[in-house]
Amino acid sequence: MAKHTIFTDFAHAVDSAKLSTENRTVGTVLSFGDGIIRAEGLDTAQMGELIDLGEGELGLTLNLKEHEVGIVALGRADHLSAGAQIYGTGQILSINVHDDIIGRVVDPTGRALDGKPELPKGKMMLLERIAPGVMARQSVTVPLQTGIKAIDAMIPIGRGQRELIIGDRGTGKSAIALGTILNQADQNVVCVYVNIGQKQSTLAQSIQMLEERGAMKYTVVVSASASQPASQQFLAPYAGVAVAEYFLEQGRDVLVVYDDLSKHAQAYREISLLLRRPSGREAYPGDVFYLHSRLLERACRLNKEHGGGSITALPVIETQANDVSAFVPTNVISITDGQIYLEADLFNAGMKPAINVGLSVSRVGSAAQIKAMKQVAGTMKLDLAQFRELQAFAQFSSDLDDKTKAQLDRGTRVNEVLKQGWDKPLKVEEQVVVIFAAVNGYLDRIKMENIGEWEVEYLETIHSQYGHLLDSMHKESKMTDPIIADLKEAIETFNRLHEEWMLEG
Amino acid sequence: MTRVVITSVVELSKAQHDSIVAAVAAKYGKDVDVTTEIDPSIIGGVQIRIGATLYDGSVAGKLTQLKNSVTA
Repeated sequence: MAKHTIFTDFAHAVDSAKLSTENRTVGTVLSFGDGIIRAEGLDTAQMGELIDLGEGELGLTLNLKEHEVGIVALGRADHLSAGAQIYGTGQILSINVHDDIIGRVVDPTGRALDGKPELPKGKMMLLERIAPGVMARQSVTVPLQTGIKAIDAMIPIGRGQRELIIGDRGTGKSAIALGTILNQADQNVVCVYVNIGQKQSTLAQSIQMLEERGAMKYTVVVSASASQPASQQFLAPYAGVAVAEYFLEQGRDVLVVYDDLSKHAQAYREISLLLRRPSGREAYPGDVFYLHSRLLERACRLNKEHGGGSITALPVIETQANDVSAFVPTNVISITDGQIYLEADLFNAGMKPAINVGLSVSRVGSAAQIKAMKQVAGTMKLDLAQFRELQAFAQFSSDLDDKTKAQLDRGTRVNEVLKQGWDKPLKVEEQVVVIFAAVNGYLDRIKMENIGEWEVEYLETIHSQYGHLLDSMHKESKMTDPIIADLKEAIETFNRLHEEWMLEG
Repeated sequence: MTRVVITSVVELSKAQHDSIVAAVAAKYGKDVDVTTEIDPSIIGGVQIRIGATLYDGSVAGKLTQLKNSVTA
């Protein structure tokens, strides 16, 4: 830019600035500590209003009393001292969202954290908003494919559903969520990954992974990591859903992952205790249920008249020693439409994803599955249920009749087929052909240690030689009789070529 | 009673002070408790705080507004 245009632009900006003798609401700081400000004045302050703390810092009103306002600082606000003046802004907390937010990493107030330029001015989305009402909604029917066999087959998730991912630390909760984001590459879904109170290093890894796998092309990351003040961690999920609502208004399908809501409840507990609100069970304040219910209610599937978009929510909850009856886990279990329950024992036994299929449910169920998947998954659920029952019983007797032994063998193999790397999502047609082979007994003769290998080569063969089967399944979205016949033949031919994996006899 | 604080850089003349008090009284009633403060950090002009409302006619306030409008 030429020198003179900088000066003329600047002169123009100065000339056109509207300066007035402002009339602002002011308050005086009474005390400030641990990020909590008590102030007098601010007569016109509303609930959830942004307060200008000076030096570019902002606060949020959370307590309104007759002579006093309780404010939580959104930054460090180190410059404040008792007696300092702070100003009302009249603005309710909202986040600037623009189409360009896709691929970016922002904090809960919308500031860029990825070192790229700030977002252009878009639409201000309120962080706290009432969820769409019943008249605007329709029932969940379209599947949201996670790419994970165990989930898509047995715990199907629909667009607009809220499915909880719950388990101890280190059982692969985030992995399931991130794997699901990876699988949305060609599904026309915008993903919002909300990181609450995680380590910066973990977040950096996740973002790098999403970047490398090309998932940042359709993903927004809203981050309030462990080093951010509790206020930011408290606001992060609301900021995430506000971003999601921006795309919902365009009629898009959105997936929001809240990773994780246990830390969110803890951040809110910290704020509430510092604000001297009465505490209840586990020292959480009385409104911890409402904290999460008003957030998760904003997940929805809108009907045609309202744009037809959807927000699918995958909240994550970390349990201590598998205790799902603790306060926050029970709350969130009761709010959501089902849960994916992960267990450390399964994880240690090499079952990855470590999903406990018996305890996991999806209350939307098969309404959110394509026909082909329904056809094969029904048998699988039965196989696995019988297997679990027999497994406990079979430990005591060495002498089993042939039928029981066959059921056990089938169950072990179906279980084996459900093992899957978290970053290797499968298309739904691929899942169907693998599960089809397992439940129809084509794996019964394969040695256990070769099943992983079998699956990889089998899928390769199907892709290279029987691609038309996948295509016609995709087109018809169900297994017609000719497809079934062709597929059976394909599996038999493939198995004949791989005698080396077969059991003797 | 409404508390009124008038802040300026130099002490106001009696006439200036009285005209401000009269204007405030016209808007907020006679029941006001007026105090004056000297604060060089506002650079120039006057700030009048009435209860929790601030009428900012100071040069410092104008500069802040100018900064916000130029950088926005």
